[in-house]
Order: sequence, then structure tokens, then C-alpha cells
Amino acid sequence: MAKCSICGKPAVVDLRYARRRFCAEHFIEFVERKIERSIKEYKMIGKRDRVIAAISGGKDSATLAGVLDRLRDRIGFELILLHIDLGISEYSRKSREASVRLAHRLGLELVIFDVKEMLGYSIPEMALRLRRRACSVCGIVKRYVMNAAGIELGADSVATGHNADDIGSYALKEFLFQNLENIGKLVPVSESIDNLAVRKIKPLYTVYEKESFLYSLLRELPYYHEECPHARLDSLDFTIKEFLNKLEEKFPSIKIQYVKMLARKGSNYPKIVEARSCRHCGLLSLGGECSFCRITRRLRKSPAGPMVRRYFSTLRNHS
Amino acid sequence: MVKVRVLPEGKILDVEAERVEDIFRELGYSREAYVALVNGKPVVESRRVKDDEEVVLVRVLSGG
Repeated sequence: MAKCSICGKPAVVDLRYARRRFCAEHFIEFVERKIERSIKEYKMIGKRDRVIAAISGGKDSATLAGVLDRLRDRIGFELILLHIDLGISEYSRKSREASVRLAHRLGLELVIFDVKEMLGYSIPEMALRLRRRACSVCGIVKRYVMNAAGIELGADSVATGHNADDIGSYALKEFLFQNLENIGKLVPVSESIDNLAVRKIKPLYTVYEKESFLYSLLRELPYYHEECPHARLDSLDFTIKEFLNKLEEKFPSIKIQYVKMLARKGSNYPKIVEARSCRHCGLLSLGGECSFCRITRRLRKSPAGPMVRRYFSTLRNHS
Repeated sequence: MVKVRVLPEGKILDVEAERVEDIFRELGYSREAYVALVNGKPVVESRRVKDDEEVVLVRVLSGG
């Protein structure tokens, strides 16, 4: 029988890249230590910081919130959870339920931004009216809401649950299309830009997707493990992830070496020129009007950025 | 013959296997992309499986 490399009890996880096997207890400890090391090495969180963890309700969110919750006393930071309800039928309803259960389990404050309630349209409705792909609209809305929440709630950083597989596959995709400016954004910490953009951190940077799933499962954290109905298994993103996993099977640890090199060299990639302020909402924009204000202006006749900022600012004043 | 349920698709496959690693090999699934659960708990690939045990392969990859 395979035994835990630490205590000799029966192993439940075999990590080939680390050449170690773990029982449940020591696997949980291994993941937490790995995330704590990343937080320290990349200077993600400081003492007395206010951190917003953006959670979707999936396994990575559960791992992110679960680990940050255990580290918050040790490092000494404040943690708030943010869930964005995208209005994607049953998928969003169950994701929201999982997020509420997760916050309740961990005893953490949860802020919910309901896209349909706030903007008048769900993500699929917006995509239909704008004649754009749901995933592209979803990305614009999520990035904006996270940034606005971070700025208005006075956060030092917004943490997302991107794991090593996500980061590796995004970087490879951007490389294939030679969008080198986008690779530079895939570093563990994207620094804030005064009053325009909140600092963004990726604590699961060196955690494999499989490890994230096992961590949530073994800690019995609430999560909803279904694919978004708009995601496609034959998409380029998914195929790249599968390709990286094939490499990993043949060359164990290639994924972790890859993301660690990216963390080190990512800042060498070209940067997007100058940051400007959106003329409607005042947050980050590349051309004078941010993508969020542009799409909501087309949908609702007036840009929704200022209203979203007010929503979070009111929450802050009431807390 | 071991019955293997594959999630999230939900399909059930019959596999000739003595150990979990045989299931991965027979089905050609990546051990990086799938986690094997026996009777609801994660197991290492060298774990022996019996015909009457509940074996599930869960795809952990998301996004696309």
C-alpha cells in the first residue's frame, strides 16, 4: 500500500512532479504551505491589508478562500469575499448558492454583485443584444466589477483563483497569437495604478488544477463542480490545457517550471502603453472610454460604470 | 470488470482493471486532468480496485 511521505499513513494523493505521496492531512498542509510561500515570495499580501477574494463558486474559489482564511490570522490581513452572479441560468444559481455556503462555512463577509439586477441584463442577454460572444462580455463585466469593488471598498488587492494550469494555458495562447502585452499581465502580482486600477494577486499561481480540486474535496469545502454552459471542450483554451497536461505526463514538473519562469520573466514582456481614465467612470481605460462603459452605454443608453462604483461605495459607507 | 463513472459527463464504462492505473491506461485519460475516486474518496493510482467498488473519474479541468 502506498504511504504518505510524511507520516506513513495510507496515501490518497500521488504528486509525481513533487515525487511525494500524501495522506489527506499532509496534502492539505502541503497546498497551504505552497500558497503561503507564493504569497511571501511574490509579496502578495502584507500585514493589515484588506484583501477581496473574487469567488465564482467553483473549486478554485473554494481553495482560494479556504487557504486565505487559514492564513489571515497568521499574516494579519482582512478578507472579504466577492461573488458576481452572471445570470447564466441554473449554472449561476448553483454557483451563487455554493458561494453563500462557502462564506457561511468560513464565517467570512460576502458581497454579491447581481449582474441582471444591477445592469438590467444577464450575461447571455447582453451578449445577444451586443452580438458578441458571452465569454467576451463576461470577461469585461467581471474585470470591471472586481476593479470597481477593489477601489470603492478600499482594498489593497483583489485575489483571484487562477491556478497554474489557467496561467500556463493563457500565456501559451497569447504567445501563439503574439499578444505579448497580455503575457506580461500573467504575473503573480499586477500592481495598482493610482485611483484607476486595484492591485491584483493570484495566490494559486503555483497550484495545479488537480491539486486545487483535491484540496477543496479533502477539506469538504462547498463548491459547484460544473462547467459553464458557454464553455466548450473543443475550444482552443481547453485544448491548450490538455496539451500542457500531456507534456506534464511525459515531463513531470514542466508546468510548475513554466509558470515559475513566467513569474520571473513576465515583466520583460512589453507593457500596454499609458493608462488613462475613462471619461464616464474615471477608472482604467485604454482609449478614453473603458470597455465596460462602452458596452453598457450601447445597451442602456448611459454607461453603467458610475452606478457600479456608487453601489460599492454605498456598501463601504454602510459597513 | 470494473464499472467506471466519468464526470461531469455521467457516462459509465466497463473496464478490465486490477488497479486504478489500469483504468487510466485502458481509457487513455490523463491523470493530470482526471482524479480517481473510489467509494467517494481520492486514491493513488497503485490502489487495487474490486468489481463491486464505486469508481468515479472526475475531470478537474475547467474553462474553455
